[in-house]
Amino acid sequence: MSELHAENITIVAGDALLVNNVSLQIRSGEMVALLGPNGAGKSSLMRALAGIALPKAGRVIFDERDVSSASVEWRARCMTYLPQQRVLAWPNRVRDIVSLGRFAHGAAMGRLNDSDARIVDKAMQDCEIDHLGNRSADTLSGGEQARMHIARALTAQSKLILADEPVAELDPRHQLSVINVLRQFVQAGGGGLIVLHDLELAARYADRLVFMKDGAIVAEGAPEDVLTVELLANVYGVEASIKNTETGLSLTIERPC
Amino acid sequence: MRYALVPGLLVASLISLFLACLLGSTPISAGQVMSAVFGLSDASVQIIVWEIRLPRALAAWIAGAALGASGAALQGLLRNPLAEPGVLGVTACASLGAAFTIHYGLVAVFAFALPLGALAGALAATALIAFAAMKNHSSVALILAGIGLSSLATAVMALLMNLAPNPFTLSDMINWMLGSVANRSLADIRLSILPILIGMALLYSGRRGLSALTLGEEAAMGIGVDVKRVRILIVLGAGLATGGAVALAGAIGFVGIAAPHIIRPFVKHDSGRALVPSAILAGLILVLADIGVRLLPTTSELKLGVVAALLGAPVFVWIALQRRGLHE
Repeated sequence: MSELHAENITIVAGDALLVNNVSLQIRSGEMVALLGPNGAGKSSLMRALAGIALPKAGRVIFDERDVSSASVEWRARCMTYLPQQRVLAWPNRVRDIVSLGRFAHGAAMGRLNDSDARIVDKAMQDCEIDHLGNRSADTLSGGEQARMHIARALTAQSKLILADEPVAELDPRHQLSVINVLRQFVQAGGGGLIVLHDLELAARYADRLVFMKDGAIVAEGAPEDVLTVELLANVYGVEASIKNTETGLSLTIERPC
Repeated sequence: MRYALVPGLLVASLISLFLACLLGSTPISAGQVMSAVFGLSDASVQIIVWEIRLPRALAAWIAGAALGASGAALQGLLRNPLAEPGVLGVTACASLGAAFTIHYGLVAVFAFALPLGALAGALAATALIAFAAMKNHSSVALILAGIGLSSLATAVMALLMNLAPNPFTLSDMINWMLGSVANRSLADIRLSILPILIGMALLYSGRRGLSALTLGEEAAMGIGVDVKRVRILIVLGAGLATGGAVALAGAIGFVGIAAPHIIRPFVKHDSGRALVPSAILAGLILVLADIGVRLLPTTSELKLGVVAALLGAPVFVWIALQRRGLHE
């Protein structure tokens, strides 16, 4: 049972307070959606959790170890961070990019031993990109690229995936397929923290929603408990109506308030 | 293809070195070259091969290899196809160091003053940039610092030229900057081989991280790359290798940026795997260009840097136009 604890995280950039005293926990077998308007501090928090950026105050503990003092490899074996920005510098082959997920396990790009190769193949099948292995990554559509990076994250076989807007710019079908892959990862015992902007998607697939606004967490809990008209007005500044239907919550944004 | 690339380039390099010993104003047969290589021929052939042609060809190959590896590594590190060995200011500072020794007439006092001056300039620049790489977390800042350092060194050099005591000094400086391996001896090679070897070893040790940097620095950190360590390895490695190359052959442009681009498609655009073949190819290009320099019947000998750029630039433009845009 793995657990990520973030305690009293504060992040500043220059004079700006990006994240203000935030505490958060993610357990294995749990998918947490991180929600909030642009500029709420979601990505900054994510980077601190991944150990990429050092918070000004607070600490991040994974499996009882302080992430900031751990080695980069150890961190990468524990958790996989998928940043928002995913442009490749070179037109690499898709399979080579997926195989980079094995980096922290000692594999070099494109040179895999049998067990690494099997893991890469499996991840590519799970993300429905096994037919694209030899394609140059710059020829892929947005949806295919997103799935390539998810496959790369699965290939790392870490205990936790931190994904910053993994379904941004995807069509509904591909959004669902990416979310389903992440759900399977969580059902198999992994943990997931995913930045989303689609509230319905979050309510349907996440076990817990965390809402941020102005660098702080303003609400946290199971979707049916936290997702209220008042909260949406407070967090996003919109008037919305929420209906409980058989397939989940149905949400309509009416107007800015 | 993949497995034949490095051996193929090595064989081609050996052939080019052999040709460099063979061709020239004094005709020497292939058999004589072979026996000279093993120390079995008569004294005059022995001298031509061992003290004139082979050192010169080796110097071209070694300088090329250092520039090719540095260019490939810096392109990978900075994720920028425009990066070249001089991008961090090392070439300009090495040139400045050399120009100092010419300006103040140190060359006349001590034969190795010039390459040592170049090395000193390169080491100072490398130390500065490595320090910047440790303090700063952005590659863009590194490029900007390099450009600043380069401009400063170029400005001081222009000042030295401006204040040149006589036309000969000025012409020496300009000639040296054009880049050449004429009259290089094994002693010259011995002087710069150490920084080049150390530099290339540092570059090689960073290659796995270079491959991963295609993802971007954040994502690379996310998969377990110690980006800071890779950055320092590559900056130090490229600085030492480039500095050694400039000390040996002057400021030779172009091969350092072109060779990696020729190699990339053959190594599936893996920056790490591009290192070794880029080095060998750049060495090969310079040896061939230098054979051209020696054979061309011009009144004053053309400079290697000039010929390398003249031959290579059109090829490079052609290759660049074949490159598919990343986001088309």
